[in-house]
Amino acid sequence: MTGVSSTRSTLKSLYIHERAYEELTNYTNFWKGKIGASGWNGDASWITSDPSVTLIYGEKPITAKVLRKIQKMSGDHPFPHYTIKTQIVWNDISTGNTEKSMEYEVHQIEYVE
Amino acid sequence: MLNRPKISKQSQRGFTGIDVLLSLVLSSFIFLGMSYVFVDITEKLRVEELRSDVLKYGNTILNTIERDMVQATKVDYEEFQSYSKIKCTKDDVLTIYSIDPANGILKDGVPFSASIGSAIRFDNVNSADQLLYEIFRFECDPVGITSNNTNERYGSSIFDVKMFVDVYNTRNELIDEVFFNRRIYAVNNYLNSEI
Repeated sequence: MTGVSSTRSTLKSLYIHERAYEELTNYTNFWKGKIGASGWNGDASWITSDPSVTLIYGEKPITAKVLRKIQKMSGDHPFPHYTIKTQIVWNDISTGNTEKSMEYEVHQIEYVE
Repeated sequence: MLNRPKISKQSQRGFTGIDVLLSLVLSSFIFLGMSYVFVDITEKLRVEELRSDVLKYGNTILNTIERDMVQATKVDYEEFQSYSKIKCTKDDVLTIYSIDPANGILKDGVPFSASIGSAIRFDNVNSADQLLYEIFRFECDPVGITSNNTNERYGSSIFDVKMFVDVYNTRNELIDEVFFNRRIYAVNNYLNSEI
């Protein structure tokens, strides 16, 4: 029984991990598209004020915080170039609420029409 | 007269009725406990198998929808009570994604699982006609204007495609909810939209 419970919580944790990956990809794609469409001034530090995302719905919902740091690398080319760093942080239920995180670093140009 | 051997009182001792009854009660407790554990483990394994099927089904479908939405020069959607219809136009060819409770997600009216070359299945009912899982919501909404986006043109070309799937146990009780959320930027739709 202990083995089954442990396996189940590991599988649940994997599912949450997969959801976190999905939400981080969504968040990164949003900022990539937005910068491509209309550029950005650039952030001096990590922006932590964006709304949280829900990983699991139901009786005990699990939410995660999403953070970003966007830096303008060059503005003197025809197409300004940016570095986008995004991060997702959530509490893992299967390992005694330890904090887990994932991070992306991508590049994007602003397409000037 | 033959001398009959005497049977001592010691050797006459055997199992009394109470002994037998007690051992029967104890063994049935052990048996019931083990049966419960077996049924419980079987049920949990079944749920995990179902969840894995649902994840595979949902991710495969959303990957296809994402590819079509990104490549489409025009993306449109229609909203109904618990589902949306997604319309993607590419090279003047219209592809429509919708939902049917019995067959899952449809592409141009044909279930994904029935299309040629499809590796996914939508086995949401078992051989005893018992419901295993069902898609109860399939939505497509544009992100629109938010605190992070004031660009209306961009907001109407980035979509949240959400899918909620309920998983049931053998007693037809809801035991799990699998949720998918894909944020898809229809870049060609953006570039083709009016400035």
